[in-house]
Amino acid sequence: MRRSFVRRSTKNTEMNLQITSMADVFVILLVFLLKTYSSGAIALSPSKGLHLPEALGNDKPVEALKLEVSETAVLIEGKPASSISGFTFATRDVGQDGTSRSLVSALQKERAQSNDPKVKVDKRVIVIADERAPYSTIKTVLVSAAVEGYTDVKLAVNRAQ
Amino acid sequence: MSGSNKRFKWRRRGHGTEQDFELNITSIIDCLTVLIAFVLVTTSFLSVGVLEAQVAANGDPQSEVQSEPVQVGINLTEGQTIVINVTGKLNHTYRLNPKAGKWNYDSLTDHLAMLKGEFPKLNTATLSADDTIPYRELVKSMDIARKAVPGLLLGGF
Repeated sequence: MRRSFVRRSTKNTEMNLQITSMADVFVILLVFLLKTYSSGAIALSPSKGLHLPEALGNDKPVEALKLEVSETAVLIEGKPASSISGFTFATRDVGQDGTSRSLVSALQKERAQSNDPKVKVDKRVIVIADERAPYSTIKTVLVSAAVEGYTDVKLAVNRAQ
Repeated sequence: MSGSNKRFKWRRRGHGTEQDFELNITSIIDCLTVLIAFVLVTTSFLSVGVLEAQVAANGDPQSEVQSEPVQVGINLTEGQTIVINVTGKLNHTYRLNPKAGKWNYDSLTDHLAMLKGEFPKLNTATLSADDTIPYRELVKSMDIARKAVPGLLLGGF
């Protein structure tokens, strides 16, 4: 079979991409994303692997000190303050009064950093704890915070739809 | 996308003269793509809320509890039993045993609604749990109790 090398007359193969409808889709997508975008002033995002408990928590997050309780550590504003194992404080770390020595010490440092006599000390604290944490650990965290004056507790929850 | 030369054409008529101009939407599409990518990366689809709570060990809320007609204590115990301890004008202890192997939250709702009906001024209750009870169950109980009693104190310290 002989193959012809004569180039055939080329048809008009110019492809017209309907960019107008694409622009429409993009605009709708952008509007949807902007509506769902959490544009609040407070960034309350738990660490990876931390499961928040579900609740109807209608109250909006406010600006406050963030205490995060994960499986391996207690973090203050994202910085490790106490190391725990399997959601439990080490026995030697917990005092007679039920507070965690390392956590109290870290809270004292945190308070000292923002120690301006003109500024009223904020009592609010947001506890971002994993749903699997036992109440004993939560109690230790709450008591340690209360000892340092953080008595207005807000529990972060995954808002049930 | 950005390589396309598709352009909008507007034709304006006025005083017998025609003026054509072309709007290049390719760059707009590029901007939209970048914007969507940015929003998709930074957006958080997790809706985080907060539950208000007070620590019962603190001095002030205790006085609030004392002014209530009855003092209600809700305790989550091991074995999935909820104990409601009522003191004051009414002295009674309700033990809500698990239903089908789960916490009996329906009964908790009913009992708190009954107490609220009997004592409309009841606004505060103390919630506590045994040491091993997961935080998840505590939050769930709080969520349920808040419907009848808005002010909740965390106790057991």
